[in-house]
Parts: sequence; C-alpha cells; structure tokens
Amino acid sequence: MQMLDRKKGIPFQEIQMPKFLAPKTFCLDNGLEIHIMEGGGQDLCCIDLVFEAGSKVQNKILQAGMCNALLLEGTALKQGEEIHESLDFYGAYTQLDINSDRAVVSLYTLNKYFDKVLPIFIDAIKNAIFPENEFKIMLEQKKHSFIINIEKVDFKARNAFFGTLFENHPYGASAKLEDFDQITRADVVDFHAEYYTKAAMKIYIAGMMPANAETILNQQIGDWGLRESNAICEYASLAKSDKIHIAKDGALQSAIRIGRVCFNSHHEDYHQFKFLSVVLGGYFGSRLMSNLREDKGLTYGIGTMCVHQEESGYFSISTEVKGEGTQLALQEIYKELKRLRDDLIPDDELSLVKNYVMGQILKSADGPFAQASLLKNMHIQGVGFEFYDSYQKMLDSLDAVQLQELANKYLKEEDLCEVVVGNTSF
Amino acid sequence: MINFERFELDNGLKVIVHQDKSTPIVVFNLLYDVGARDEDPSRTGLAHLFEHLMFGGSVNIANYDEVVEKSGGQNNAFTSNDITNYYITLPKENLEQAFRLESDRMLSLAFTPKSLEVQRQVVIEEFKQNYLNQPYGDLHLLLRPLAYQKHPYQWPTIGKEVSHIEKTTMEEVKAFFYKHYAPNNAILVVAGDVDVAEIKALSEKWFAPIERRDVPVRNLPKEPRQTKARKLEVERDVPVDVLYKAFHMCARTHKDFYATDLISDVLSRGNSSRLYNSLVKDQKLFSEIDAFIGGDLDEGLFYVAGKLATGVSMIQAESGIDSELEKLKSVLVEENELRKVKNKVLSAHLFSELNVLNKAMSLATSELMGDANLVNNEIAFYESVTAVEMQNVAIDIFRDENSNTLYYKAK
Repeated sequence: MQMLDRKKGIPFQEIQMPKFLAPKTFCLDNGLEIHIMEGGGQDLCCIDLVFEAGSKVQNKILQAGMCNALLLEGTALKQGEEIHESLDFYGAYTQLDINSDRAVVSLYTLNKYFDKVLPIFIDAIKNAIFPENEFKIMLEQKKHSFIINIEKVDFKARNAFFGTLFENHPYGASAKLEDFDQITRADVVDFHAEYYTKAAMKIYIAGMMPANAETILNQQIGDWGLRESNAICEYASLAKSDKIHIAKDGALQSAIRIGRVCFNSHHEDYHQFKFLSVVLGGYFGSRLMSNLREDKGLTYGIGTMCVHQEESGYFSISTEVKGEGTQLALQEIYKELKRLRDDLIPDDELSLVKNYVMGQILKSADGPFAQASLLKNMHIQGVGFEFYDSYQKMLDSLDAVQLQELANKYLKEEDLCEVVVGNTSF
Repeated sequence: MINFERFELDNGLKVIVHQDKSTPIVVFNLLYDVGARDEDPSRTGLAHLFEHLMFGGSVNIANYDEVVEKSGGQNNAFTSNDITNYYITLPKENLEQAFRLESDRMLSLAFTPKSLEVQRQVVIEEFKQNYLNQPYGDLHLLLRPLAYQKHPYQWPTIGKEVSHIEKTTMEEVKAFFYKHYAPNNAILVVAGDVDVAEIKALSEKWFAPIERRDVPVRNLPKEPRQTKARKLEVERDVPVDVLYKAFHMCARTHKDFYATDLISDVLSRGNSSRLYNSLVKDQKLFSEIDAFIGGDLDEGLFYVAGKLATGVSMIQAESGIDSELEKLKSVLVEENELRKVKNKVLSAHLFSELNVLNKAMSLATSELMGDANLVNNEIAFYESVTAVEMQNVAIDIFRDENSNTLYYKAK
C-alpha cells in the first residue's frame, strides 16, 4: 500500500447551494395566505402562526410578552389544564415566541392527529380569556426570571446597550422591576383584542401536509378576522458614541457590548455588511475569536451580530471577558475594527469566509423544518422565498475593496457606542 | 426507523454508516469513550480541557478550524461525565477533509505549550462565566459531591475547582491522550448522502494505519447504596430560593431506565404534568418546577428542582414535592396518563429523526451502550412499561434515605 502523506492537503471542492423546498401558497376563505414548504416525507408537520404582535406595538412594558405567553391558558369553555392535557395526549408540542416585531405561536404534530389537535390549538389562541390565576402565576415566573437576570453582567449590558441605541424607540425599552406591578390582566385582554382577535398574520406549514389539511385549515382559520398590517416607520438615528461603564462589585467578568444602529435587509449594504461582521466575529476562526480567545485567552467567546429589525437594524459585538483583562479586551476590539478599515481582507481569508457562510446555509438546510425556518425568515422580512436563489451570486461578487469601504462607512470608532458592565476601574 | 450499517477496522475503530439522501450535508461524528468520570480526582476538568486542546493543531495539520471552514463545514464538540464527542457537518463534496482532520488528531496532537496555556485561560473563563459569575452557577458543584461520595460523578465536567485546571501539566495532557484517544476507544458515525463502500474505503485509508492503543479497562469505584438522607443548606447572593432534591437511580442500560424516565415525564413533561398543576398552579408553592433524569451512563440521579414562590418556606415547598412523590408510590398511574406520556415520547422520537445530526449522535451513543440499533428499539421499551413497574421504581428511589436535598437560599 502506498504510504499516506498526511501533510499534503486535499483540494477543496466548490460548494453548491442546496436545492431548497419549493414553497406553495394557497388562500383561505378570508383571504389569508398559507405558505407550505413540503418535505421530509415523515408524517408530521409544524405550523407557525406569525402575528404582528411584537413588543413594539404595546402600550405598556410586558403587555405583548404576557399576552403571548398566556395564549394557551384557557378559554371561556376550557381551562388551560384541559387544553394542555389534550395537546399532550396527542403528543403535540407547542412553542410561544416573541420579539420586538412579531409574536409566533407554533404547533408540532403528527399528521394522524392533525384534525384533533388543530381545532384545540386554534380555539385556544383565538378565544383566549387570560384567567386571573394563570396571569398571576405567569407574572410571578417572569418576575423571578427578571430578578435573576438583572444579576448577570451580560443582561445589564444588553439593556444599557439597546436603551442607548434606540433611545426614542420601543426597540430600546426594557423592563424594570416596577413594571411587574403595573401590568394587569385587563392590559393583556386589550392587547389580545387588538392584535390577535383581529390579526395581521402570516401562516407557514413545514413537513408533510396532512390529509384534508386545506379543508381543516379553512374550517378553523378561514373565518379569522383580519386587520391591516402595522405601519412601518423607519427609525432614524444619529450615530451614538456614548461610553457607558457600569461597575459591578465582585463581578469576576466584565460584559462588553459595542455597536451601532444600522439598517435592515432591505438596505443595499445589508448583506455585504453582514458578511463583514462574520469576518470580524461571526465564526470560530474569526478575527475577534482568534485574537481575544485563541491568542490571549481573555474570554470563552466573543461574537458579532448584524440583525434585521422591521424598522431598523443593528450591529453589535458582545463578549464576557476576565475582569482584569477588560481594558486589554477593549483595546484589541478597537484594533481589529481599525484593521478592517485600514487593510484589505486577504484573498485567502475572504474565500474561507465565503465557504464558511455557504456551509452555514447548507447546515441550515438539514431537514425540512430547518429549511422552512430559513425560508420563512426571509419571507417575513419581506425579501421573498427566492432570496437564496441569488445569494451565491452576491457572495461571489464580494470583494475586499468593497468590504473595506463598508468598514470605513459603518465601523468608525466615533460612531460606535460602548457599554461595559463589571470591572470599570481602568 | 434509522437504517445503518456497521463495520469494524482491524485496529478496533467501530464505524457506523447511515444513509439519508434528503440532506445536503454529511455528518462526521466521532465519539471517544472518555469523560470526566475517567479523571484523576486531583486533576478534574482534564477531559474537558483536553477537548479544547484538540483544536490546537494536530501532528501534521497546524490549523484544524481553517480546514473545516474552507470545506464549508461547521464543527463542535462537547464533553460530558461519560463521553467526549466531536462532530463536523460539511458538504459531501468535501467529506474526505473530515477523515484527514480527525484521523490526524487521533494519530497525535501538536501539543504546543502555547495552546495549553491559552486553552487553560479560556477554560478558566468558561468556569467563571458559567459556574462562578452566574446566579446559581455553583449549584452542581455543591450537589454532585453531596450525592456521590465514591463515584467520579461527584464532580462536573468543568472540574471541581479552578486550581485543578491551573495545575495541569503537558505531561499529564499527553498521558491522557495516549490512554484514551485510540481507534479502539472510539465510534465513528458518518451520516448523509453517502454509501457504505465509499465510507469503508475512506476509513481504511485514513484510520486503519493508526495503531491500536493500550486503553485501560474502566474500573470506577461503585457508589455505595445511600443509607441516610443528606442535606445541605447554603446562602448566596441570589434573588430567589431554590430547592433541589436528587435521588440515586439506575444506570442508562438498566431495564428500569425507561420506567424511571416516564416517571419524570408524568411529573413534569408539558404543562399538563403533575408538578406544574399541583405545586405551581394550585398550591402556588413554586414559580417553576421540574423533574428530570441526568441521563448518565452509570447509576445516575433523578432530580426534582424548583424555584420557590415568594413567601413560601423551604419546609412547605419540600413537603409539597414529597407528597407528589408519595402519590407515585401509593397510587398506580392511570391508563390515560400513561398513554399520554408514551405518546409524547413517541412523537419526540419521530421529530428528532428530522435532522441528520441528531440521528448521527443517537447512533453513536446507542452503539456505546452496546448496540446502535437501540436507537430504533427504545420506543418499544418505552411502550412496554407498565404502571406497576413505574410504581415499583418510585418505591425504590423516592426513599428519604436515598435523597440528597439542597436548600439554596437567597441571602
């Protein structure tokens, strides 16, 4: 047998965009569109109801979140216990999620029970009455989580960061302890009437379509009252260069957040800028990870995000570093930002990150639910299911000069807000 | 049903191949049969520190991550008390890169002093971030040594204390490698749009030249049967009182495992479960409560853990839990309730098969437990559990003298 040369690398093959599920759409009697992403072959499915009921439309802090969390806790005819008992009996799972733009209610079910489970699920959401007892229990739970979270440096940093970036916008609002005494059951009932009873929503189904699904969906959802979508007012913000340092005695680590308001996926620079943020801190071998973790051992992890929001978007760097290394960490972060502004990204690194990003998309295409969730997100953002058709072309066209320009446009030190919570004695 | 084929190389490496044509990625999952339970009690945390060092370059390849990233792959690893598991997911066109990378790491690491020094710091920061600088972070550092006096499950994978990580030397690191990282101590699963002949050829090419190593037979001290209830009370700077009870239970491969797991489901799976309805909703003793099994391979722990509602004392809260456990011992679980938890297990199993990475990991851990096909047979084991078996298990484990109770109080 020929001796194996382990030192010699194997040539890398070009990565192809996976074939995504092809979404189909059909309309219910009330005009509501249902988007179906069929795949996988197993007799099960996931249905997501996406409501324009995120926290940005609430009048009071906690209102939207409490409403979403209590959607399955009882109707005039059925107690929450009964609802959960039947959903559990059929082996169904539910999930409730909320962010500042939207609330999502998801149901995972075996198709053989679809006709049993869907009516229970839809009835619960549509006719939720928010019993006082359940309201109080949920509020206590949330309050407990809150008072535990405010002990964490990372949580404090996050709140201070968004509070500064989105000073005059609901995106910057965060709960305070007294908010838990202000919210009432009536607030939640009002919110439900306004944003769920008559809803602006999108519906997605992934997996295999159950038999008679169209009929069942029409029976259950085809008469749901609909309302207009919320008006979108783009958040106009000046760059913030605040430096906010909050001391926390006894903290072994400091949480750091650095970033700025930018834009969402409709902006011409968004995807290129997002790519740049991956180079900086979006993967294990990124510049920030290589420098702060792998070279200096200052942190367990550091990462960047470039996030789409309906009315805005932001870029952030976040990490928790050893207390005595806080100043060094800040210095190195700014050094890496400067390097992006001053120098072209070498070809090798550029092609590595392109491959990494492609691989990430591939991994997100593992299984019908994962794929559907990728497509769904693009559809919700309003860039369409076909977004990934042209994505590879965009990646291929990226070049170092363009990325350096973006760094100089958006990552100037004087345009970045800095928050440190923990050791601030430097 | 997860189909697979299995073969073994002459050097003892077990290989399992699962074909799934629907996914664009291939999973390369390599499990080493070594975990925190195999550590020297004065060098705890070494298995996990070692996992970090595995990314610091191998004998012929200086930068592991760079090769993965250029392949369009993603990789990660985790260490538990029982195993250390490494995986790469990558486009199938670049699958051979994974064989090259992982076989080179198995052959030998670069063992550079810089890598040890940096990863030592990184792990210490991980220790601080997750166990020390976090409300309730030290909970398992307290509970494990309370429940285990002999068995190495008495420390968590991060280690007993930071000083063990600080003191680890290069010699110890190398010795650990040659003792545990060997083809005859590993299970490789490749899953995706691949065929067995191809995987056989690649395995032979890259792994067969690595020699079998002298892996010591595991001989861990057995935890003596607990004969007296143990209690620990601590005060910390946390906002809410927390109560933990841990009971010794059977090993993962014991036939009672399935009944024990279903007991935890009856108690706390889903919002219709007993603990939530009785202790959170009706009696308002807890704001949150959970019952779960640790999932360890050796004799493990059954936990009941809750955050106390405002104004409730530890004694009240604990007696609420005790009376729910008492019920399981005195009254048979009804047919409908049993059906419910079984249905839930079945559907969770079907959903988990949607993702090829899950399937690969399940195959690897099942093979470690003796038979990869357990992944398919387990549903039948759950299905066959009876209410009487559950009652017997409850009587056996929910005894006061088998309990380890932690009162974690707010200052």
